[in-house]
Amino acid sequence: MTKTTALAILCAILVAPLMFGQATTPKDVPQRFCDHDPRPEIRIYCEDFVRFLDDANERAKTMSATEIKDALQNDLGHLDPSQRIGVVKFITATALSTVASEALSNILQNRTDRQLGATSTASGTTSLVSKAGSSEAISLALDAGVLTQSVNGTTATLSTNADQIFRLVTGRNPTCTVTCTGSWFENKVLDLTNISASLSLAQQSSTTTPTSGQASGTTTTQVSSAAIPTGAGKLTGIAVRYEVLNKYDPRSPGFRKKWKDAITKSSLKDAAKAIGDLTDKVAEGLQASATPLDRDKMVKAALEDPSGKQLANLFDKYFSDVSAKVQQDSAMDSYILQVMRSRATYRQEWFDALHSAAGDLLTFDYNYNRPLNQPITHDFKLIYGRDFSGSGALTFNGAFSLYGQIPTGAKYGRLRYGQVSAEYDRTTSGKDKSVQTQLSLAGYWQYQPNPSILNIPAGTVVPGTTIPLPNGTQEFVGTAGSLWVTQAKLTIKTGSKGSGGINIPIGVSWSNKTDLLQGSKVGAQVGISYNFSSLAGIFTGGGQ
Amino acid sequence: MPQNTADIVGKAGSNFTIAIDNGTILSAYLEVPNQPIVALAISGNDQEVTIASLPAGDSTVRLDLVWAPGDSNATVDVGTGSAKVSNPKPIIDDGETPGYVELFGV
Repeated sequence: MTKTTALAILCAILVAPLMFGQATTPKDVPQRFCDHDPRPEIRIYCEDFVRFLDDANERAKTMSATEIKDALQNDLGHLDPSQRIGVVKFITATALSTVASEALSNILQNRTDRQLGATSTASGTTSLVSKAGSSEAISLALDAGVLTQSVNGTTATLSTNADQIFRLVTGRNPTCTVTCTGSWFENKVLDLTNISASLSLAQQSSTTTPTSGQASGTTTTQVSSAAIPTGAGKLTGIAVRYEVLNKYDPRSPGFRKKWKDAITKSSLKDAAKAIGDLTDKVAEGLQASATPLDRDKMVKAALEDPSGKQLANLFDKYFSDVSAKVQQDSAMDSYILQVMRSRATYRQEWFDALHSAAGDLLTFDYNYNRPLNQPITHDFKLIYGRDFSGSGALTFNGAFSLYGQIPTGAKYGRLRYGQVSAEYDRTTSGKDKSVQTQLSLAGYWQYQPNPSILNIPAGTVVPGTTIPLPNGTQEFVGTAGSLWVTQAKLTIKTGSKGSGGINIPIGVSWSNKTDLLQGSKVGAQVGISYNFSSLAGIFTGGGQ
Repeated sequence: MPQNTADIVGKAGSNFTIAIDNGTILSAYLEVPNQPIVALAISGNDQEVTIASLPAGDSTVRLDLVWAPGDSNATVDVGTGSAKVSNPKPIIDDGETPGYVELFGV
């Protein structure tokens, strides 16, 4: 398969679901003067600017500037952090203009449908069945073990949501929920796309370099080149996954009822209270220290320049002064970070509730795999998940794998294998406990029309001789036919309600064979995954 | 906070409800300077809270909210009772939590 073909298939996977899938709640918002302002604080307050500007200029037909100021106290209050109604956006804007990365906070570990580690075909993995959900922030998973492959490995997987990164890079609020509006590409592609890269930590990579002469010794044998290590890890795969929610009408009574039920069952109330309590602390500090907004000047700027630019510039100066003052107060700075962290938890709960209300998840998954000493493969997977709330969750996978390139004279076809698998997950400890445990039972069936292919590396000699095998040789190993695997796994999740950021899966499995070896195998898997819920802590030293 | 910037003004000790037309109130609190915060009763399809007795001077109602897909900004109004809401009526932007409503008892 050529790279162009692979790209075309990837595009098809991304585009096809758009015909029947739904993102969150894309809105058609007309372009406004502040929507694309380079200053994050101006973009955050954009709606307030536009509302105040429109209201002020409408009233200017019949009112004086003083009357306008008195009439638009609420509009102005939204722009004034010395008033409570102006605090929520001030926190967002300050966090974005200082430690935007904190807004990536996400607590994902209390989900049973998140794929944080490597998928089932990686050489180091603890997951037999791929989950429909993905990390919406950044997660790092380290897994050691083996399921379908013969080679034991240790794999590090770095995963992220494309839109979260895009929002962080472009300085827009990554903790948004219903207001996560963006371009079509953001709403329909980036927001639903998660990307992960797997690195095998157990593989040594090396490169050959010419030598420049003997440095010591008296040997007469000329050494013209030597292999030097270039790294302990190697990229073994890139995965792109696209999630689809069932179509829903947010105004339909059916969806509204499901939404109500979902938020009742969720931890949104606790998450919202935590945000409120912390926001109160910031508000108290701002009321004591922030200079009130000069409302006369704001009205004047709005009336003198209906385009809004003067208003934005005036506000930006005011905001910068207040924000700088706040950042000098370490307690306030800490509260702002804590609010952003709480909002990230709330955001994750919100999306969980949305997924629960909207219905089942369907996920398309593409993997580019580079296993050690085996041909490159392109794996395509369809994942379906169904959550039975308190009774656990079921996940089904259907997949096929194609070889990347078929050498001339090959005795095998493009298809490497087809597989189906299923997993049942259930939280076994109480949901309110600080340490949760989750039991998973999984079954996997793979059929391959030919035995597996092993690349023979350059320099390999015929056993018992010094005769080198030609470079590029491939050998059949293992057997064609069915591969069965079953797995039982216990996952320990730490932190409040199991959302503290660390997952430790421990599993045992049985398989009738592996991809390269015959005979049944009993294996064990162990791993650890960590969610960067406090990325700003890494950058600022202030994280948890 | 002077009386003329408050969202809702009423007679101290009066009883009334505050209603929003979008969003869902998960919890609500009455905050009076230098006093402990008081949880408020929620009613009206989770879009209304009751102020049993409006404190004299400044006070704030904090609404911990969740917004459903498709919700737009919420307009704040007085549901029942004799308190007076500012004109134009206060707005809580969609997606925001908490939402604050500033009160003044005369």
